[in-house]
Amino acid sequence: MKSIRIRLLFVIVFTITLFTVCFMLYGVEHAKRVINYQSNEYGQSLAQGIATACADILEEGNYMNLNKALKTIGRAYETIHSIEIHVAGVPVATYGIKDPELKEGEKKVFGEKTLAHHKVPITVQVKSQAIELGIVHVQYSLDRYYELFFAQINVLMYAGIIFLGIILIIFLFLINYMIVSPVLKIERGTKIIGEGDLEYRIPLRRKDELGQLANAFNDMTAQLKVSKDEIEEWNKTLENKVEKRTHQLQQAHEELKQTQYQLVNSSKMATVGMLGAGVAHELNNPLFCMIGYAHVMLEKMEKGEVTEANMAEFHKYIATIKTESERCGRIVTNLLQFSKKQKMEFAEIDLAKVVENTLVVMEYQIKKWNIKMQADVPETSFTLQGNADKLQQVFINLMANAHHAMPDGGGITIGLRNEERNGTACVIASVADTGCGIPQENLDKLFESFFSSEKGMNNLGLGLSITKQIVDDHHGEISVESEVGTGTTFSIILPVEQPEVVEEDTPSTS
Amino acid sequence: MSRKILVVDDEESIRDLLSIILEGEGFEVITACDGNEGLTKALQEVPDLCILDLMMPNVAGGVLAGGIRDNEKTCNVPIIFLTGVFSDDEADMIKNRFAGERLLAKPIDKDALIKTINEALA
Repeated sequence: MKSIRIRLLFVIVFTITLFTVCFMLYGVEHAKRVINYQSNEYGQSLAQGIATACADILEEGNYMNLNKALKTIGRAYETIHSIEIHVAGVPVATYGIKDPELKEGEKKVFGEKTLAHHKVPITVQVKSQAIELGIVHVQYSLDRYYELFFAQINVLMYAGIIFLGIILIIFLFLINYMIVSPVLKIERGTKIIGEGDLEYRIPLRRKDELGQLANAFNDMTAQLKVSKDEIEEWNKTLENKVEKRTHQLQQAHEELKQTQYQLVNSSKMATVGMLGAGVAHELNNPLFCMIGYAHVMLEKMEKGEVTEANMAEFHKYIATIKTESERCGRIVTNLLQFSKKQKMEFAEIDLAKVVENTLVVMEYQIKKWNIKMQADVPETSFTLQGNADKLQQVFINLMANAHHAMPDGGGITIGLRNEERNGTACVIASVADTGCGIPQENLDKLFESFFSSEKGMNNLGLGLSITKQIVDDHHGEISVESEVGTGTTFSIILPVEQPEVVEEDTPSTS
Repeated sequence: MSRKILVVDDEESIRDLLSIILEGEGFEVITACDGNEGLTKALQEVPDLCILDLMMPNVAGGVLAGGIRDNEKTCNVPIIFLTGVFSDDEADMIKNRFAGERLLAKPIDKDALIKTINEALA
């Protein structure tokens, strides 16, 4: 681990050790110098003392006494290794054995390698009233000073080591207190905050840079907390809004569905209204026949003209009355069935039958609108799952649409055929007119609600959108082809089978 | 000599019924099933009276009546219009274009029909 604590400590220890070593080297050098000086002083005073002590004896010339004096002095001073007194270059008295390696006159310094056996030579003149009597050569030991020196060095070493240790401990403590502990606290805080606890504050009350860092960090966390709270609040509001909106949309959708359903029904009722006049006409014709034939027969019976020959005629009249009343029944039943509000229920139906019924209820309109009807319906069944009622309205709407395209009359051809489309069995119904046609730019808008090329009050423009709605409910498709001036053809593709799950399409108002 | 009446209606049962009734009253009856045949027969036979259904495919009663009026031979032949439903529109149309002619709404009572015919022929 490259811990900052260890690195810092290393740098400090290195620096302090360097300084300590330098200090100690200086200390040793200084001790050497001091001891050198002291030993020289000592040597000088020792030699001077011996010279002074020996001056009188040398004047007397009594060399025996001189030897005795040297012995006494040498015994008194442990440090004296040897003494020699020369007079006119000849040794006259000695004490101890002279070390021949120590050359006379050389200045020997303490601490030098050549200073063998810890001994130093010194030479002093013996004078009396400024007359030179002789020379004293003294060799003295430095053992005492060496002991002193090493004791000094030891003190220095121990002091240095203790000093180093104390400094280390103090720095360790300081680094720990000032850097490592706050850094660890900040690190721990970052981790906790990073894990999402924005309530956490780094417990560092200091005025230094790390304290400022911790404060900045705490401020940042507080800001984060505020922002997070705001975002959460916003989220919650948003969620509520979305929920509310969704609910409203659902409600609107339901309402729209209901409205659409009602629209389909009311448009059917409008169709019933349109058909009403025609139906009355259609009913009055057979009624006129029935009443008329009944009248004729009654008259003949009253006149007693009921003869064998008349019976054939009567039979014919009654057959006509039967046929006509059946026709009335059929018209009324068709209309009733059509006007009934029915659920979007699917049943097995024959589309050819639907076309046939449509032509029955539209008979009056066909005549009134001066339309030449043609049915291109092969003699086969066009069975499919569907709602006969709604599909009948599809045909009525398309025929009404065709009439609007040719107000002065024209031809309408209704065609049916069984065909397979994309692997699905389908019945394709077409309603073609010979009217004015629809401009290309209007073809796309054709199935939109309230789109109408006519500006009249009678045409709300709902017919085709409702037609499309009904076809969509049957999972079918409606398309239109048109050429201006030639005519328009609507094609409806209805699947024979409805998907298994038929969407529930029966609002409660039905 | 019996009076000649032209009956034009697209419905066979009505043509038959009117024939029976009118022949029972001693009229000679000619029938036609649509406007074109009606005009042809009217110009051929020049009847004493025309009974026209207003609502017929191709050539409606009103158009046929116009044709009858426009021809010199038949311009004075009285016309009785029959209608499935009596409406103000049709009544106005007849009042404007064929003033003086009569309009009857189905179903027609036999006596009322004979009475109207006699009035028209008078």
